[in-house]
Amino acid sequence: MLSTRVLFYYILFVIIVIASLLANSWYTLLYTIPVLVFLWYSQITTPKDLKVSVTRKMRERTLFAGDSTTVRLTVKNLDDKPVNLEVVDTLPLGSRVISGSNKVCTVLRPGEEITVEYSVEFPLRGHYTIGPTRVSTSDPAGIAELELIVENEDYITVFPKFEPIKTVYIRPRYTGVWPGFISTRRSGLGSEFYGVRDYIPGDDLRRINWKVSARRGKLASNEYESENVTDAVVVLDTTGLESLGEYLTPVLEAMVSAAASLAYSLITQGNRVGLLVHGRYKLHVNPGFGKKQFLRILHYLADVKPGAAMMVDQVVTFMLPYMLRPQAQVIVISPMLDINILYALRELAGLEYSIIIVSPDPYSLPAKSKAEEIAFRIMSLERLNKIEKVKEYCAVIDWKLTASLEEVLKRYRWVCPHITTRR
Amino acid sequence: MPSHYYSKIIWVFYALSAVLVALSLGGMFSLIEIALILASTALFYKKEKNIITVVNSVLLVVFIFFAVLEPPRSILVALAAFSTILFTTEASRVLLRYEFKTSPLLESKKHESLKEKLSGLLKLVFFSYILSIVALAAGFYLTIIPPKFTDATLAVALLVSLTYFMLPHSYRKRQKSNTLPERIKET
Repeated sequence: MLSTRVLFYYILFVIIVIASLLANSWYTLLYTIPVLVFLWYSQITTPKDLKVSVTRKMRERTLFAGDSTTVRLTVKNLDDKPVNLEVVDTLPLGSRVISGSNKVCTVLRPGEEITVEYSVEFPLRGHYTIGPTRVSTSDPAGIAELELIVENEDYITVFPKFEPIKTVYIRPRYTGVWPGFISTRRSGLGSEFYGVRDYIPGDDLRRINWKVSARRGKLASNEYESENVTDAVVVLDTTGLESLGEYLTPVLEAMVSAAASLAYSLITQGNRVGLLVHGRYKLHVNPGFGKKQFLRILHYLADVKPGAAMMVDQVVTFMLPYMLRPQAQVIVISPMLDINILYALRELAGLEYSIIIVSPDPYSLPAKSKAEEIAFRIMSLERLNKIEKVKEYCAVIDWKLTASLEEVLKRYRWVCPHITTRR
Repeated sequence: MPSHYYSKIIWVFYALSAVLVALSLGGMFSLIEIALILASTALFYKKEKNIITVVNSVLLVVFIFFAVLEPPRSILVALAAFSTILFTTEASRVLLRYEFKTSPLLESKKHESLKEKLSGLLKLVFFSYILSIVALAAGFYLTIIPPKFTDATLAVALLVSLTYFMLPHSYRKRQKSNTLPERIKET
């Protein structure tokens, strides 16, 4: 392939030749000599093959947004003659080198190797690729170049940053069959006192209530309230966020972070938690228990992009019944900018799901001009109108983005019966 | 301002090319050419990698144009000016490419690599200047028996076409990762 520089030199050469012919001055042709020397020298000296090995080692492959990782790149000359190399480790968009450099220019003698170390920061969540490494060599003028692309891509997952909710608990009316921490208002295995009943042979002796037995004249046993876990799905709806322009990123990141926080809180309480994302791509994770399930949810949350591939009501009402049994807990995180979310919530309420809506208010962010402030007020009224409509069949938490999610949940525990600060 | 030690050489060559242009070209032409050199100097100072290449290319083309319009006072000085501009053009581009910070160990490696490139360029320019002088002497000898214009045109056309086929090519190759076994070991 002819490079731009080669073409420039060739055009310069042609210009000089034509100019000398037109001016009929032979000594103008002398200016072609440096140009030709440059071209021919690069033709002779640029190697046709580059024998190098490149090895990359990374400290971490999974990070949280805002974290950094250290990359060590080792380049070795496998040829029997020295080479002047330029090595660039390709970094993805959105990453930032905070120390060292991902580029190095060096002369490597036969068999010599160098190690380049640099730290790269990922301010935003997502799946990133580091590499390929581009190793190039050229003549002194850089006219012709041999570039070797070493396909050594490494993959990094950057999870969204989230705030662990430790003092607020979500306790729906419906619980599953597995033992957990949510009181079921039924007798069974648990720690909270429920009532006293007649002794049944086989009851544990420690459960006999001796005072009541003495009063009644027959043995009586204590009953405890059974504590089970619930099934929950966190629904993330990003419809309408594109209309926010430069405010999109803070709102979307807050929503993703809230989804991670709520999933973390529910999973640490022993519940079965799933995820349904309605964005540019439809993503879902079936409910499951434990740390691995939480990591799975984080992986999916790292990929959330704003947009709407389908209507939100179609996605939610079609997918949720397959993921969750009726009466289970559904937590919808939606800015309530799209009218279709109202239809989706009405359908879900019809299926007897216990619904909590966490609605981040995009218009609570500080406006940058007077005109924006007025527009925000008008849009905010429209949004509040939608919230008023859904309040009939589900609890709505209007989240001003200036406050933390945990604070807001605590404040709303008086309005929303499912939310409590007691374990 | 480029921080590298070798940037001093570029400053010297900028000054030298301005002086040589002033000596070789006359009046208005030399003023325009010097203005372009000053613009290139300012861009080098500001480390404008992309625009400097365009300005330097214009500088070379305009120099040829002026040299054709008005024969220079001394062809030897004009050739030296052209070679100096060529060196400044390439050396400033190379030096700006090396403008990045790295660790002290790699910094010495970078220094060595840049030294090799700049000395290579300097040798190349010097060699081409010597060759031009030899060609000039040969040219003077040939003008005693002037060739026919059509023959000269044909010879030049042949030279231009041959040069096109001899142009150096840039290559891009792909190599599968040789770090794969190590990565598997890690995981």
